[in-house]
Amino acid sequence: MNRDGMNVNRIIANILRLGSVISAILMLAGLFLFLVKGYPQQEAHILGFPQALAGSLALEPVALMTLGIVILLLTPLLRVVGAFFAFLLFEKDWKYALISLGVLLILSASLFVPGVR
Amino acid sequence: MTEFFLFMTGLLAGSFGALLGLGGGVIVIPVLTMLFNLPIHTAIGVSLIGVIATSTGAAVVYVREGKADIRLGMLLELGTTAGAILGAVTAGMVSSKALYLLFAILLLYNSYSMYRKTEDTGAVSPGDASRPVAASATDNYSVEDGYSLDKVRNVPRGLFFSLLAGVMSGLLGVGGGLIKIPVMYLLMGVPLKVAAATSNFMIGVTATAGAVIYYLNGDISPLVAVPVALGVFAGAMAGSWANARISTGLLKKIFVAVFVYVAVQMALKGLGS
Repeated sequence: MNRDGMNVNRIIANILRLGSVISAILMLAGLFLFLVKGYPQQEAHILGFPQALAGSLALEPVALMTLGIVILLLTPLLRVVGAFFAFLLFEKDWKYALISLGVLLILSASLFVPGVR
Repeated sequence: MTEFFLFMTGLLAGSFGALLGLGGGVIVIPVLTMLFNLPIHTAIGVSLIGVIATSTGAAVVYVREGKADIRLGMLLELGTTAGAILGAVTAGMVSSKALYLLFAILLLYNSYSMYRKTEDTGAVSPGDASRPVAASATDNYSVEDGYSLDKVRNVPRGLFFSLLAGVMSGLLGVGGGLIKIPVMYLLMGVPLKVAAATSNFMIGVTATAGAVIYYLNGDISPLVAVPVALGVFAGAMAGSWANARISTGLLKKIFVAVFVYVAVQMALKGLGS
């Protein structure tokens, strides 16, 4: 089990490591710029993803921090995508490819749950 | 200055969490609500971000060393992610007071489970799982001999309890290991170390399902979440390092007392004093 799990394990470990490093760098950069620039507190509102992306290119502190959070949120999602393809392509394990797809669908559903407040 | 204290909160939660085998949520949420006076919905959203940071960092180690059973984790995630969405949506509809009361109950159960562990030191109990696993993070261990996924029992009931663990995660901003580890170990017959590593591996995906909803609801302020998450990243590394080197018996007793005190305070806040 452990041996045939190597491909999936390696892919997943790499996705998790890459995601957490990128996210930590963005958050650290955003927080550092925020502290240095002395950004006005009232402008630190919560941003949507497109604003966060655009603002990050302009090195806006709050946008960088938001992007870091979004990438942290995307990392587990990506590791499910990675597991799906690893089960499907490398291990030919249809059952667990299907289960991964199920988890992916439920996760995506969380994006479309209507805002409660 | 606030950012510094928030970072310290994350550091505290991450390091003591790894040291004591707790998710950081039981530390982050009381500190943010009771000391920083933040709304409990914000505290839960921020805590979920911290929980993802802890789990992602730890999962790299467990997955690479083959301790977590990825197939079992993926299967049970069908339950936890659906539960987390239910929990997060529910949290948006119930009052802060109800959440304070529920969190107080969770804290009491958490301290009871920790207390039991300190009483029978040496004996292996399901709640004790996270510490031995973290401590053995450096030894060369792969999925336990004789264990295979085919031998796992009671899968439908395991899925049901995973759903409950997910609801708890989405509703109260914690990882849900308190439910998942005993369920895998006692109900499904998974070895303790595999159960703890698999639980930790699952937490990231579970917390994400809930956190997305808090994010879309505007409950995750980057200025609060980022210092906490960075603190948790750093703290979790320091905590797992220290875990293998110091005895945590006394520390656990102190935390049992602190959690009982905090639970009473939060219950009083929930009852509207």
